[in-house]
Parts: sequence; structure tokens; C-alpha cells
Amino acid sequence: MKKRSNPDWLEEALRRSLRDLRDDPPTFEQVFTAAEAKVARGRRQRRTGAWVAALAAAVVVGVALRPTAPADEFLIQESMLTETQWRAPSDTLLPSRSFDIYQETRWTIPDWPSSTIFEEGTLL
Amino acid sequence: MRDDDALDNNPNIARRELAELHDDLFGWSLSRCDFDRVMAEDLMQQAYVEVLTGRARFQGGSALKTFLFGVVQNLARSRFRRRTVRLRILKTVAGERPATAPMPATDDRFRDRVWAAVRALPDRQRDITELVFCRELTIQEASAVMGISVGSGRVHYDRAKKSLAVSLADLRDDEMIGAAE
Repeated sequence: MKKRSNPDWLEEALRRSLRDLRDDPPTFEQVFTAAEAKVARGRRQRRTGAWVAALAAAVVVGVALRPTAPADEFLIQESMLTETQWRAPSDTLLPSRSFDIYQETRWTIPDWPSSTIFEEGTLL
Repeated sequence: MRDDDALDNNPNIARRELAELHDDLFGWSLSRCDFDRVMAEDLMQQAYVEVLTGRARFQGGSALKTFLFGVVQNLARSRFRRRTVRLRILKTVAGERPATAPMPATDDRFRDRVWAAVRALPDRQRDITELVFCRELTIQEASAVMGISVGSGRVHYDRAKKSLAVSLADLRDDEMIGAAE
């Protein structure tokens, strides 16, 4: 039986086998319409996101720029003059905890040497 | 000149041209997704989204077919690779048929044999063979789709043909070829 030359035979076999290999594709309209819907949905979501972000930004700016109550902002002369309490500013600088050296057993005042013997009118 | 049904964000592409290339593009998408039809439809849809939004913009530097095949190829590489691998692992773990050589269903023994030999080739050799013989692109266009130089494309093409000549040597008989006709 006559055999064909290698390149001709192979190319013909490949072309014939692979050219018509189709797998019943979905229609163009079906896929393209779905893609268009996806694009439109993405645009809508982006637009909604932008609105939400703008609204949130507006709320933040509004809160930040909100005018404060005049009573908090300025000193009122009358209230200052009628004030009867006063705290030294240094109070706030003191440590919050302290220990009482007179109560602690470990921290006692040392017994200094003392004398009861008088010598020429004075204690030694 | 702008076509009447040109896309808003891609004025060099007409909807009619996309419709003409749709079947070929679906075949290529199927091949990129291991012949998983649902994934292929998803991939096609995403490719159209890229074109509609203008993220993939056709400037006319190549044939539209080459450009669209390239979009599908790049999408498959970036977005679908992980899903495909995960699916393959799941199928293997679940004990389904080995997914090393996925093939489209045909009822032709000769065609199945040739297709199986093509699918057994290394990735690039298989891709260029499929693009040239099945999708009817030139080696230059196929190389552009695959993102390789024309020289590399030719090397892969030649190697693929040599491998196929060996693996399909028994089909060389005229009778066998005639049976498919």
C-alpha cells in the first residue's frame, strides 16, 4: 500500500481531526448579554460605593466641623468669681500611690543615738 | 473608521466581528479550561467583559482573532489557573478519571487517537499544534497568542510535528486515514 510523505500525511491528518472539533458552543448573544449585564452591575456597584463613601465622608466632616457649645468654649467671668473650690495644679502631678513610712515595718525611722546625761548644762 | 456597532470602550471592535469569532473563541476557551464547559463559558464571559470595559483594548496591531485568543489565554493564565488546578486535584482525590489528558468527546476513533496524541504533547507544543491546526492560525499568530517569539513558536511547532509523526506512525496507513473520510 502506498504511503504518503511524512509532512503531508501528518498535516492532513491533524487538520482533518482537529479542524471540526467543536463542542456545541453557547450562542454569542447568550454570553455577550451576560457579559454586558456583568459590566452594568459592576458600574452600578461602583456608583453605589462612591455614594456611600461620599455620604460617610460628609458625615465625618459634618461631625468634625460641628459648632461646640459656647459654655464649653469660653470662660465665664461670673462662674469664676463664684467658684469656692480650688485645687493646686501640682496635685495632679503627685504620684497616685505613696507609702506611709510610719506604718510600714520595713521602713522605720532609725534610732538615732541619744543621751540623757547632762554635762555642763547640755545633753551629750 | 468607526463601525456602527463598534463597542463604546473598544472602538476598533465591532459586535458583529465578535459574533463571527465566537465559536472559535469558545473552542479555545474550552481547551484552556481542560474542557470544562461551565468554566469555559465563564472564561468567555470574562473575556467579553475585558473587551467591553476597555481593560483589554484592541489597537489593530494584529488580527482581531489573535487579539481575542490572547485575551482568553492571559485570563486563563491569571484567573483560571488556580481553579483548574484545584478542580483537577479534587477530581483526582475523588477518584474520577485521571485529568492528565482531558479530551473533547467525539465519536470518531481516528480523531480521538490524533487528539489524544496532541494532548499528550508538552504544553507549548500542544498549544501551538492546536492553534495552527484546530483554530487555523499561522505560526506567527499562534506565537503572539502564546506570548512567545516567532522563533520559539517554530521550534515548538517542529518538535510537536516530529513527536506526532512518531506517536501516530501506525495511523499512516492510507486505509486508516481513509476510514475517517
